[in-house]
Amino acid sequence: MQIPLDPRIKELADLPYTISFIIRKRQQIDNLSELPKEKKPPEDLIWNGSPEELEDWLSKVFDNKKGNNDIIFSIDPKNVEG
Amino acid sequence: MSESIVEKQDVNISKIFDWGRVFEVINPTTQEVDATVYMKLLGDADLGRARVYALRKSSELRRKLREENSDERVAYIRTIDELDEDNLMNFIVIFSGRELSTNARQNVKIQSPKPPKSDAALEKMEKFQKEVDEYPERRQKAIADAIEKEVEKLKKSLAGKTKEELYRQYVKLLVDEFCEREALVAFEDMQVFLGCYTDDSYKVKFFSGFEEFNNLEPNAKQLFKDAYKQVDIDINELKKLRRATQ
Repeated sequence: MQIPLDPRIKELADLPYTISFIIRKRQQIDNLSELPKEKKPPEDLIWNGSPEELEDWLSKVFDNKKGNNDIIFSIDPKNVEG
Repeated sequence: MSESIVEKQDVNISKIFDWGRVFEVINPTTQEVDATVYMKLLGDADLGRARVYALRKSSELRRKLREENSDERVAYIRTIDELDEDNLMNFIVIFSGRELSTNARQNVKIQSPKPPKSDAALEKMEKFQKEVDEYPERRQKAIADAIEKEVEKLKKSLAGKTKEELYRQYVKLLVDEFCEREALVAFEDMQVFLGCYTDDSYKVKFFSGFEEFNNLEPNAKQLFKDAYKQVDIDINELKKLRRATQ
């Protein structure tokens, strides 16, 4: 993995935890920024909340009990190639 | 909202790239370099190992402290007869300090400065910056007031308890405190052991095993730990590096 952040790091396992934190956070923020504004967690929660608090927020805004808008696919293994 | 958000302008992102350093062990008698150590900040996997080690050490100490006649219990925890109610209440308040402070920090709600629009007049931007600069102090004062209130609340709740109830609470808090310290020390020890190498490509471990590091003379051990801290970044500081994520 050639990480553009630091060319001295050749292997993923050598990545200092600080840099992996920043990368993970960046991915999380990218994902959360896809959400509509009213469902996006507040910045304080993103940065200072626990993973559980963030999960609670997302469950609440998507109202998992009621919001069954997901399309459920049913795949028969026989129809899968290979 | 936390201070970390409003202080974001003052953060130097380049710090995350300073993840390795050379540490020279100087012989105190001859003042010559005894060894050259290449230190590197741990990756996630090694950090996980350090955490597991810390949890095991803390758990081991907790078990010993809970045994009525263990050496650790006798050495660290006073018996109920050695303390009166006032002593117990004072200890409980002192050892609850961290929890009270955390509660206060979570409950304090101070409106953080609202950034002006990007094309706002200079005066508005100046005003915002002033609010940003004053925010930490404003928040700190609010937290101090909130802690004071929490302490009063705790004291009132303790006043109605029997000596036995107070003693049980004292023991629990003291055990938690010792275990927390044990975990922290163990975590730091393992971190340093895992982060020391003999070469600048960080391939060969400096210590042949953890025991070699752990058995170092305390002052020497502390020198290694201090050196490692210089490359480490506290999690709160790390959160301030959010410009790296934007």
